[in-house]
Amino acid sequence: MDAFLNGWGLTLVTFVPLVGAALVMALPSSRELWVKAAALGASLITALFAIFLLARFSVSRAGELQYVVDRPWIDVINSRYIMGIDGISLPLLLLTALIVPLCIVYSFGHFPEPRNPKAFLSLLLVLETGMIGTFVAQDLILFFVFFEVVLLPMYFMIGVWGGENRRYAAIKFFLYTLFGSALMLVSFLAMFFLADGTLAGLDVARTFDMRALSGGATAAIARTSQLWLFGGMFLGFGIKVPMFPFHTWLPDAHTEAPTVGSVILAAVLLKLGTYGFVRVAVPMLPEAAAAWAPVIGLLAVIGIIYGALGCLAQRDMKRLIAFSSVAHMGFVMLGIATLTPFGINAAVFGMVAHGLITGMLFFLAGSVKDRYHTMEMSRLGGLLQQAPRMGWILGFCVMASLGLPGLAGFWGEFPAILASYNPAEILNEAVFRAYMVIAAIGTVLAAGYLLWMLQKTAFGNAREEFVDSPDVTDATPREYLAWAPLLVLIVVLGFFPRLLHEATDPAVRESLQVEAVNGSPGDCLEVERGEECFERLRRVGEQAGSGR
Amino acid sequence: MNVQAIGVFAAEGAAEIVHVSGWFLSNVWIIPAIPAASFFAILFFGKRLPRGGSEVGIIAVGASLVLALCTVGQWISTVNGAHGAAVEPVVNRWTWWVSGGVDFTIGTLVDGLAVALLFVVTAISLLVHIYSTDYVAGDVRYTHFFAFLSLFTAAMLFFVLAENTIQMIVGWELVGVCSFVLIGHWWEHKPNSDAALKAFLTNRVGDIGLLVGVSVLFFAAGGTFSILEINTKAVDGEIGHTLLLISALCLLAAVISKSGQFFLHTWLPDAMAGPTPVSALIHAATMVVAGVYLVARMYGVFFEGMVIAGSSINALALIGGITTLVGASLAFVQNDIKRVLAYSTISQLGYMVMALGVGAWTAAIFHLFTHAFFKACLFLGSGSVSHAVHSFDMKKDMGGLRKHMPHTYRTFLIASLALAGLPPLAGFWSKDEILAGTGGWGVFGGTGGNGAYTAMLVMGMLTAALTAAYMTRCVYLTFFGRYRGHGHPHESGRRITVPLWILAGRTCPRASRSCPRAGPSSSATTSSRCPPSTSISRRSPTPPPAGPWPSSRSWWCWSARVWRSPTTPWWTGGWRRAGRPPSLPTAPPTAGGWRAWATPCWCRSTTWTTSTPASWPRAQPVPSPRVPTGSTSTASTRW
Repeated sequence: MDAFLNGWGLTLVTFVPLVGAALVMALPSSRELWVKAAALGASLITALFAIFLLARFSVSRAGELQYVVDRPWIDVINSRYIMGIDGISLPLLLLTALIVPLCIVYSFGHFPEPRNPKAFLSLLLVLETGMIGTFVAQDLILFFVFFEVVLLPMYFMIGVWGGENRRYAAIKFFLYTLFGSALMLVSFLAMFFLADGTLAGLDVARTFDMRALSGGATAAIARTSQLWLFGGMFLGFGIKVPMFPFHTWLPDAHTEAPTVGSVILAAVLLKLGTYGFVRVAVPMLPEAAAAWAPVIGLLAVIGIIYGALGCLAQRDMKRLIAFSSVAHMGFVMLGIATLTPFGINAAVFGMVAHGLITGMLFFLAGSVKDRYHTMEMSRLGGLLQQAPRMGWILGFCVMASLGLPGLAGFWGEFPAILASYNPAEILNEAVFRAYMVIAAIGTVLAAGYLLWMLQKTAFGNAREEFVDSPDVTDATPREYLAWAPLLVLIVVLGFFPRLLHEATDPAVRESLQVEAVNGSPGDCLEVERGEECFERLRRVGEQAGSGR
Repeated sequence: MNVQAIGVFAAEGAAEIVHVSGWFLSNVWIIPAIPAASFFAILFFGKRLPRGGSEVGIIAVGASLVLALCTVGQWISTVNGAHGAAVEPVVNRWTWWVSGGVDFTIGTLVDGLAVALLFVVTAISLLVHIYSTDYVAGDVRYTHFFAFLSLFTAAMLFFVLAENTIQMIVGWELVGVCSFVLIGHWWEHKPNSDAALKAFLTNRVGDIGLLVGVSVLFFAAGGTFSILEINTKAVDGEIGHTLLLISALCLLAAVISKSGQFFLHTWLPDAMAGPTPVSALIHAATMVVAGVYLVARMYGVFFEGMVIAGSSINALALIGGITTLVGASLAFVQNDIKRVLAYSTISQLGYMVMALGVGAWTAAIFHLFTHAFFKACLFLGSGSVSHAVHSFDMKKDMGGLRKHMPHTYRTFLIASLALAGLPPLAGFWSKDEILAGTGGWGVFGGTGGNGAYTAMLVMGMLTAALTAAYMTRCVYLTFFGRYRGHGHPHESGRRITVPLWILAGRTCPRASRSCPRAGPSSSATTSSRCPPSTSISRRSPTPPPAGPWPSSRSWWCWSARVWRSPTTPWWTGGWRRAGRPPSLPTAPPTAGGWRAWATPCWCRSTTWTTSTPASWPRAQPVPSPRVPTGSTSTASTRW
């Protein structure tokens, strides 16, 4: 079993959904149940493999890559088929493998117009391959391919199954993300040419191997070039996150996307961006990360406040939740910007927590829309009266989302605030302390808009126009089935944050302090005069390079 | 069981520290766990039970009360058995999670302060549970109401037993959510949900301060969340004064919002939209004192950060003083009986905060203790009245209820008198101590000058007068005169009157004799840490009883003695001494009899008994920011 998992586990968990998609396509569309069953089966098998991977994952070695596969792929550009997961990838992989089956369960009974479950489900499965692939890839080209695979299914999902303004939203989503990806690819390519793999113990200088690139190979790159490279990645990942001021695609995409699309978008897709920062940008270019960190932190706190204010201005429930994502991802980015293990741990926790909570909120928004056929908060009200259980679940998720201690959201939020009091040594403390206070103010606004939404939708008496509406029912078994795992996880992670931290903490520390051949660039973040430390490393690197 | 002994007072000799262990003290986590389990039980199975889940809640909180009493008993007997030696707080902790090499622990911290609150919370919660079975009988969300009462009790107990600041945040927010849910219990009406939102959001504003303050303290104390460690480091001067001041001010913001201090007090009167038992439990007796408790818990930070021993005014005392006056004044002009009580609560909370601000730590906690009982009694009494007249409006719908509701009337009257501070009821002793604790005017050995809070004494006196007046108005409008409402008011049932009598009973002198045992066994912490000091005895006009008071001696007796015994008429002496220029050397503020005793001893213990004087910067020349200016000259005489 172990040998099988080591060799094939990650490949299977990545490509089973793709096979499932092919199968779904092959089935006749008249057999709707078969189509659904096949899709659900494929996603469940994926989840099963993910659980196997979890079960055999060695937590004590969570800092290292496990289940590593390393095969030749495109020899011309020295790009290899490398996969592996560590404590950072694992939770996100599991999150993805969990969310997709739940989405299929949720949409089992009713597909958004124009239905066509076959196409919808196969797109969903392709999407899953892309998302999982991104989290397990350890080669930049492979990473990029998976990163882009995600784009098209989402584009179609919004563009075909979306709301009234779907075309606009889909194109906006596509163009924004593609623009960022293009610059990111340029950065990847430049890194291929500039980095020196021999510094990280490889035989060749030019490499896309992420392990080598975050293991010291980039020490050969001059500071200015590093800054530019980071800038390219920053755009690519930052748009995906999305960070202020690149967030404008998000509310449109969320508002127009079908429920399941919104859930996936919020729960997993946004994490591709933050994961990119944690996995690629920061460990590979620590020096540039240190230079960019104040900017990232600034945009993060602007995002926190701006997202919250944006929420307060919304009349549409789904759009409000979308804006809240901007604010919450601001906390995640603030954690990353501190460049400390503490902050990045908080960020990874925040990613998972946001995935669970905001995913849940979008599920609820979708269910509210199914019942009331509107998302206008001024027309909603009295959900607690008409659908009490759903109203309670909404209240619970609102509390989780505003960062109530004891539920998952808090452990992403507070540690990020805490970490920004004391960022990496190389960063300016005063600046980050100012960020800390601003972020703390953001928590008040978060409570404001979320409770306001709760009051508008759930409290009060039922509206006259919906009092006798036959559509307004309490949550159905199908919905319970799709929600229960998320709700349970929100509570469990709230009480036992160590479940996640045990895996992420070693991995995060490892990613910040990789032992390169000539010293650890990550260590330079934690010394008094970090710039000189980086400079010294680079000189050592150059000597080593010229010596060969 | 991982019982870690924490060296709290490294400066003291090992011989003076008593390590405590006891089953109840080290397994105290069970006390919040029971109501937490009961919350889930009621939530999931409550509707199927014959009494809608209320029986589960009552049994659970009753069990908690029994355990709390055992814990209190064990603590008191330990302190009494220590014969004056310092008693180590009992700390149990486990690693909760690890991030970036930092251990986040979860655990319990039991000392006198904690056990006092354990008793208050469980006792009042139980009475409120029983009361509610009648009061909210037939409500649409009867089960839900009891579920959240249980959750609140669990959260509050969790907060009280918090071993570290993270746990405090968790408990702090959880009680806030319960308050939100229970204020908005009747959410069909917009004013109720508005009030709930207002309460939660106002509290959130203060929570900024809590989050930031905890973060600052975490790093300032060298990466620890442990309350004891932070306090010790603050007192030992290991944390810079600026950082302490900043974190104290941040935490003060949290206190201002949670404990309804001026200017974030506005949510508290609105919170009366909730059911009356909720007002009694959450918005009078327990949740709103969380802020006071926070200050008392982190007193090292406040004491040093605000230079309480060495100033005549500070943010804590000032905010408390203003609040107490503002609250009392506003209570005058309310027509709604619950709003009178709400403003009165604000005023009394101001009293407590002021007491902490002037250094009267014990007095503040004592007042918290007594106030919890008589204010809960008043709220429950007002609920009983509203049950009879179906209104809270004193002017329109009440009057003359004295004859119709004898039990409610008597208990309400007793509690009012206690609140007004009439001796020998409980409120008198605690208020008197706070006033004495302001320490100026030469009263009770106070010295004037630095460390004497004359302005606070004036504010406190004024408020005491106002309190008596508005409570008289309230009682008069409700129970005297002619009945102005409709229908025929009637006395409430047993499940309402019995809790009222029990609460009223706790305000009586005979009962307040036991207060020192149960309550300011909190002060047992204090005294236990406070080695008997000859200096204090010599200087104070009323020598404290031998051995650690009041664990071995009745608080009541001693209070009475102090009250009677000033050697000079305090008003004349006070005026004269208050006029003394502050630059003149005065006796160290901590030596001021009453105040000395009111100051938590662990703040002073280093002063009096440390074997390494250098750790206490009083030996340094002025002006060191942490040095009370008056103390340097006398420091040498004391060593």
